[in-house]
Amino acid sequence: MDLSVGAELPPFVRETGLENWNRFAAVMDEFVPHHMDDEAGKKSGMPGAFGMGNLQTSYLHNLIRGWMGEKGRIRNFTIQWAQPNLKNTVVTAQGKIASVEDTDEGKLVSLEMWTEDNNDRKLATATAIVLIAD
Amino acid sequence: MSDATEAKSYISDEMRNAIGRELSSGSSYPISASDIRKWAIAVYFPETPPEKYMGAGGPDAPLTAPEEFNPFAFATPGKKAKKSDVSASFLEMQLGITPPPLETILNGGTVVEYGVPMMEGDVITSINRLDNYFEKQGKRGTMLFSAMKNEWVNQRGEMVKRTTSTVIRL
Repeated sequence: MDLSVGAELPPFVRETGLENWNRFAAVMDEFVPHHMDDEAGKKSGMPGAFGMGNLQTSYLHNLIRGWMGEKGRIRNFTIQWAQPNLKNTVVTAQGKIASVEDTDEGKLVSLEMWTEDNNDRKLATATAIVLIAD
Repeated sequence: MSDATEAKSYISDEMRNAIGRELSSGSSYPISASDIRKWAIAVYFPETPPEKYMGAGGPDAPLTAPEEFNPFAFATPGKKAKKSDVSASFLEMQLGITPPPLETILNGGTVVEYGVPMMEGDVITSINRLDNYFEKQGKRGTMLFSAMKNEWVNQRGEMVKRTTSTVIRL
């Protein structure tokens, strides 16, 4: 595992739309009309239905889990949402290592991450601190 | 010379006095292996989730939940399932106080500290409090920020996660 500052995490990529959002609504109990219906999305000022911010959180956790493997443990996570995930766009969660600190338990790695769509719209920015056990 | 266009504040005395009050609390049903599998299927769709979320589970090999898993979706013991309040006044409605006259609500971000992982069989207890109200000036006038702190512990009293969530109203 490359733990050098600036090293990039393997991206997590998903085509997004009602298939993803309805499944997430079904486990999160997030049946909000603007996540399911284009007309409701338009009433919220969007071109149509749009995805849940909490699903962006999950995509960023998937990104971290895919990178850190079984020796890693997420200690802290922050997210700020910028724009909604529009229907039928491809969302990429990506990130890089911002800093690495040696501790008694292992390496404490700070990550800078974000999600963006295939129209170069940044959807969310996030940070995490991950402990990678020695 | 004083500024005649002093910024309007939406934080009433009633709202200020509510800072620190409990918004909600409760415990989850025991987390099932099926809950964990379904969550993983939803967030990894359309790919198959990692095997660690898809095993048989059970007492000898309980599944570990993904960090962001929510054991409080749908019903909790003693509470009936109900439609979520997604209105801009949801917070004050929970507190039983008069909400500010603002109709647009935005998610301002979340900060999470993780403790021990959630496992199949765990019962999670949550206490959610109003942490603070504060305001900033934006292009559309006064923006009201409301911060909530939510702590989850498991049945052994171990901290599972602490979350600070902020909503912005304008």
